Amino acid sequence: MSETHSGAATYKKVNGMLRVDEDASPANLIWRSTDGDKSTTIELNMVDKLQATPASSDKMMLRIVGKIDSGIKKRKDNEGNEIPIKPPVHMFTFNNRTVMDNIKETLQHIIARYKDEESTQEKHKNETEISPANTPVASETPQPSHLPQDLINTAMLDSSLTKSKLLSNLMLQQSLLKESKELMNIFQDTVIKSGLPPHEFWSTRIPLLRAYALSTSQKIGPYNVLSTIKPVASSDNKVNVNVSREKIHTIFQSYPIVKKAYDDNVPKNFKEQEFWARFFSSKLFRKLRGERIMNHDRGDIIIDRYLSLDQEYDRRDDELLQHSVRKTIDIEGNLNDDPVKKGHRPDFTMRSGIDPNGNSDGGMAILRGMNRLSEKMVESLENEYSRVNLPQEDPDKEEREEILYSDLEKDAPADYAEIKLKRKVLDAKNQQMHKENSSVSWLEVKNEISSITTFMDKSTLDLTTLTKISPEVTRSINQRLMKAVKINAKQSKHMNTDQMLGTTISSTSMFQEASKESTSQLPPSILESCRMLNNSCCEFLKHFYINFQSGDPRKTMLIKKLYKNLMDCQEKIDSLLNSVDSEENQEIAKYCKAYLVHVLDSVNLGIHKYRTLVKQGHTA
Amino acid sequence: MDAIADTVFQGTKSKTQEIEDTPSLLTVVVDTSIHSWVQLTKQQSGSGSEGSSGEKQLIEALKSIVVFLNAHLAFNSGNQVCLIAAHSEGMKYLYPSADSKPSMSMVSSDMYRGFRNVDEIVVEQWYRLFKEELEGQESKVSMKSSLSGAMSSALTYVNRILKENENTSLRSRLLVITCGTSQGKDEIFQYIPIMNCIFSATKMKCSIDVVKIGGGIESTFLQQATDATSGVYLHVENTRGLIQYLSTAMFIDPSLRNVIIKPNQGSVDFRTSCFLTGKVVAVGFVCSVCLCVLSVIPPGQKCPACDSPFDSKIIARLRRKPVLSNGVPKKKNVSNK
Ligand SMILES: [Zn+2]
Repeated sequence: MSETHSGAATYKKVNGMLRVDEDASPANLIWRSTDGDKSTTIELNMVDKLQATPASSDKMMLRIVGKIDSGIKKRKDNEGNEIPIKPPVHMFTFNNRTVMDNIKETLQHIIARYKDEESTQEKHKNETEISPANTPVASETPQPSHLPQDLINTAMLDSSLTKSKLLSNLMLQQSLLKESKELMNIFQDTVIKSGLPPHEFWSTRIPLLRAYALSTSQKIGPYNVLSTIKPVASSDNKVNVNVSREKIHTIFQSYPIVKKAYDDNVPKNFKEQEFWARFFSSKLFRKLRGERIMNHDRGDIIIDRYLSLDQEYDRRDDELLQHSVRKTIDIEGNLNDDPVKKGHRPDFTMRSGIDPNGNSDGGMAILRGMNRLSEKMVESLENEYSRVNLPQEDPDKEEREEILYSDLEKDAPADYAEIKLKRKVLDAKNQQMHKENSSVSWLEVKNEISSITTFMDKSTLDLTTLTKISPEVTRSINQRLMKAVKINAKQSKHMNTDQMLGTTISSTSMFQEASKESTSQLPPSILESCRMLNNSCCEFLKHFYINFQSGDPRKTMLIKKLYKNLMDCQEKIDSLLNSVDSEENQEIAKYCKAYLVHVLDSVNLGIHKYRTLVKQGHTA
Repeated sequence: MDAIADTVFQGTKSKTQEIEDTPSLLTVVVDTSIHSWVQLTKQQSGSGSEGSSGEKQLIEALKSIVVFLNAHLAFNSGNQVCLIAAHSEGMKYLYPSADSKPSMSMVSSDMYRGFRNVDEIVVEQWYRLFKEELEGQESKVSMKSSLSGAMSSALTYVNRILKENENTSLRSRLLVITCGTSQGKDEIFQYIPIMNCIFSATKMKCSIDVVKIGGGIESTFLQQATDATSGVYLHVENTRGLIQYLSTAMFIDPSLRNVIIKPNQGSVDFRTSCFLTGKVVAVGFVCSVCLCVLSVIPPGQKCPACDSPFDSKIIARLRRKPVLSNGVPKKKNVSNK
């Protein structure tokens, strides 16, 4: 029991000893008179207020106000009014301020913890009514149940990303469809509505699936989780810590000692919330975090019992992480270990309990602890992302190479990637062009050049000749430009000029326009169905050609099916064009046609190719 | 409602300011490969329509360009110009030029100094370009079209000037004046470089305008370039009245591109052409490395554009002809008609 937890105090004018018993649940404050005749026990979860005389005052008194026990029946006075129940008050007088302050601080911690717990319970009570699923089950170890489920097995990454695995991973596919609305639309239109086999649909999207699987399965690797937790002591000495489930899970993974402490104590001795509050104020937490533990640190009496057990854990880890010592002379190591610079004494890391400055206050232990943690982190990734399949490193390779005499060996020749300049092809093409231009002889060219140069030799360049153009030419050029502008203006007349100006003003980049939805002459619903139709036609065309060109006779049935799908596409385009084609909607019909004519051509070409092949089959 | 009215009001204010104060850089790439021009002249004099223009087309083009550059310089004291020639031997900066100060005074000395500083160099470099070609050997005069190379250089120049003037928020545009030949498919072989130009121009927010003189009306890739960068594409028959086109259709300030209706003609053909045959592709193959489009399986099992070797197994699979097994009741298929 440390000094901070007990001290001499007078209670009701009787001298005695005051002691905090944290082992009990709930924790107690016990006062016992010196002669042992009298004693008082205060359950600390029932304390409402804690007051102490200020440091400026001569008196040293600690006042504890208890809570009103709701179990006590409310009494009524003679007039029928409720008599307010006075809360129990205890007053202790000290003769030493340090003793009092220590006890006060301890009590503050404990009381704050209980109050915190109460408020979270209160909160949970309210939450349970809304969503019962959210209440953590305190009796169980928090499982990462609501962590996102892995879509692929990252430990076997290579095999998870093979074509067949991706094609059979329905969960992955569904998740991708949910993510991408565009893909979902195509999927619905082609697979669900038009019966394209899902296998076909996905077979052209393997890279997409693979990229998605990889990007969603990226995990946060192990990290120094405790260093990310910053307990903030509030004014009432309460430790404010908010830890997420994920972090708790990581803490348990990285520090089995915490897991053991948790399993031992929750819910037997205290509730989950209390456990974490205790843990974050414990010396164990400081040690694991890699902080120096000061002698006067308070810590937590229960959790800190695991400190000694942790040393045992560390020892076992050290054995596991043992590095083999090299059997040959470590030249590199010797170079680093320069006795001229550092003397003959063993390096400070080799001396137990001493840090670089010769202090023995645990700096070394912190370094060791951090190194241990880092090595464990690296080790824990050993089996992730298919690392198991990597070629095993030859442990003796370095050693073997070191003892070889290699000074006289030749340097490896520098190996460069070869870049080929395609002069020949270009020249061939130029020759081709030359042939096309062969109507122009060198003489003609020479004449032309010399006439240009002699013209320029003769006099200064007279720019005024440009104005001597016949009015007809000028007029016709003008008309031509105006005509083009007028046609283009008609096409964009739907655009509200004001709006147009507004957008160009707000955009700093003139090309920003392109990223926005381009304006269309069509009503949105028709435009949308044009887009959908275009998408699904392209989808079917793609699958049609892949199978059609495959040259695989087993695909015949599938090709036939896809051919029928193309026929459906043709029909759909026709019906859409017919539906918009009416007297008053000439413009819309025109634009629809302009949008869809290319895909219709492509569909028709596909159909034509299939029919030709079938016909050939007939004649053959 | 109030909020909306507010922003529009504020925006308009900043807009006018922006247009008035922002200087811009005009870069002109002009196709000077002499063969095409000679051919163009020959064709037109052959058809007899506009043969009697009296002046060489290239001189006419030069004059128009000089006036066009002057007009741009006159617009704003901060405006800058650059002129690059895509010549038969390669590209050459006509202005600004690495060569020394002008020595020949080929421009009237009465001209406004601000113009003359530029024009002297432009005209002299133009003259030298042809003088050098005249002195060169015939064998050296290949038909290499350096248009895409000149465009790339122009864009790197634009990029440099924009970087140098970062704090003045200089705007930029690129005008390409090309001479079309009768075949009209000369730039097919420059598909990839022109595509690269389009990407970098888009990134630099530099619009590309194109004037094509003679040849076919369409110019697929250059049209795509103008479309992707909100530029203007124009096809004109010859250099007569070229200055009028330049000073009207080609004079749209970059900041007005989205507001002004452009005098583009016809529609852009977005279809890709085969790298080898130059034909528009309906069903084709794409190199997975450089995205080059092919209508036929290329010989030699490697990409004709980037030389990436192709997997022989996949090539073999691609070569397979479509088959239908005999078990299929074919009549049914036909009856689907
Ligand atoms: Zn390639």
